[in-house]
Amino acid sequence: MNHPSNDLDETVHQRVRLGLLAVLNESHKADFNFLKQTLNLTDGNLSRHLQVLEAAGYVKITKTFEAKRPRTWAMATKAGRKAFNGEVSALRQLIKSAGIDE
Amino acid sequence: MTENPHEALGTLSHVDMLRRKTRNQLQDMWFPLALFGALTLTSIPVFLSYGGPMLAIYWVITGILGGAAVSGYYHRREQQLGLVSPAGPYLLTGSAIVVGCMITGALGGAMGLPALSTFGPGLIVAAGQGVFAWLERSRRLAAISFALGAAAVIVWALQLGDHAGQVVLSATYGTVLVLAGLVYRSASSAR
Repeated sequence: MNHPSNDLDETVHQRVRLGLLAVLNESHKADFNFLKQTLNLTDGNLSRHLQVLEAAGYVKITKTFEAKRPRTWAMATKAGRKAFNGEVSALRQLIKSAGIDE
Repeated sequence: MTENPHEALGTLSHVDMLRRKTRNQLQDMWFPLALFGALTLTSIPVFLSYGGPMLAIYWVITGILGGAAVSGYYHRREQQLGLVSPAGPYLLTGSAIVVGCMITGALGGAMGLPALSTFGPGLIVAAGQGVFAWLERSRRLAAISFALGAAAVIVWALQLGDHAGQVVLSATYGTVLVLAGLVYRSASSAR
């Protein structure tokens, strides 16, 4: 029998990246500053995690210019939303299989 | 990969908290509620002075302008916030409300059923609010939707006649929507 933890996705399982996908899954897109403040991250930390998610095809990054200042937006791709929902399901299954009430 | 179920529980709580926080940031219904409530109240003198056909024209014009104003409001707010909601379902619901009201209004006229013209649009607006409540996962909006639907049924059951029924229904809807908008406004100011 497959253990529920085998269904966890290495890329999404990391707590910050899962948090990023949680925010992006509830919205169409979010900008760099919103994500930084919501998840309480530094610029470098957020950039690194977004790069990992982008490389996995889970997040699409776009840059716009407003009043000559660059603004970075992130949005979850279809694969990203699927990976996030799969991860949440796997975590719920893991908790359920251990007999713990949520 | 292995995972401790207790850690998984903590991770899930963290994820749920972030989802709630994001939804709360996006929830902001005061402007459309107050605007369409005010437009509903303003429609009463239009109906009393010029009758049903002019009321239909009033709603086509104010519906389009109101929709554009609401879109502009959300666009500006979301750009300031840095968080953009998926607009598609909201636009679709808003459009469905407008089209549904037009169809029931016209059908009532064509079929000689004035009650359908009077109460059909009211029920469609209530159902539309229900869809917005589901999209926003908001119990408060669900309560407003239920109150509007109940008001339409009660006014219809009172058999006030189509003319008086239209006025009472518009006054009730307008007042409920404006008050709900003000409550939302004060709640979002307090956040």
